[in-house]
Amino acid sequence: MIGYAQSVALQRINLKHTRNNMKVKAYTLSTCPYCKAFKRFMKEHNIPLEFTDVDLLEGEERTKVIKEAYSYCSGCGFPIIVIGEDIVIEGFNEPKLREVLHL
Amino acid sequence: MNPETLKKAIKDRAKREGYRLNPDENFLESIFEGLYKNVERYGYPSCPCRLSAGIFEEDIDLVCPCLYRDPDLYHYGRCFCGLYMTEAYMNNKDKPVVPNRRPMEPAKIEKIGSRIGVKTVGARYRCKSCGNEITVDKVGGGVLICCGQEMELIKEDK
Ligand code: SF4
Repeated sequence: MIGYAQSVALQRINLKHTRNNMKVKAYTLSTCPYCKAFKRFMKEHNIPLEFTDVDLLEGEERTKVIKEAYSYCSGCGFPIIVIGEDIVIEGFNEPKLREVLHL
Repeated sequence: MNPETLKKAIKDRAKREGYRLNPDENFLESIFEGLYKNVERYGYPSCPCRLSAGIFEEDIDLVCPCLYRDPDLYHYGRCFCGLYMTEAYMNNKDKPVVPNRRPMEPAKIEKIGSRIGVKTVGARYRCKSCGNEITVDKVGGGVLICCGQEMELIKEDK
């Protein structure tokens, strides 16, 4: 059996680039329905997404990633979506996401 | 506990307490799956939409139904995850987004310790999360907590 950390520490879905070429990364939870819906949404729109299921991490890596994730958010609703350098969307806010990604 | 008993317990509880569960069966399954995964890895059904520490003492406010469910049902008609709902929410066209009420740093008993909180009659306190405001009628000395965090002193006396 593979450990949690190894299984989904960092997953990359490399598809096409976003229309405006902004990199999209997200901090997600493997148990959260909104995170799942968000991942599905990105896949359906063929937008590359780099996501980390924070709850699957362990030890030092977990501490490091949590700190990084929390530095982006105020209320910490998952998924924490970071678009480009400084656009942060907390939670799967589809209208906002469509607006930012020009979908 | 197995997935079926967990589901049944949640359904029975909602009925008993007069709340409804999310009518979207697929979504409901997804929430149950998340809750059950937490039972398997932590031993308790902590909130699938928030990050658990995996240590019961630290996650106690997140064990479903979490500490924030009732205030969220009262304010928004829906719990943060969208598992529990009120009848009114289901019939309402407007579906407000529920922000995460859990404070970034929940108040911990060992941090509060024997510190004196309330000192004066007439002092006013406000909850940074839900906005409750209260006035002290009698001083007991304890630290005031609302929505899992220390209340903010907004006015020392009358
Ligand atoms: S937000 Fe809803 S589903 Fe999540 S722990 Fe609280 S009551 Fe349970």
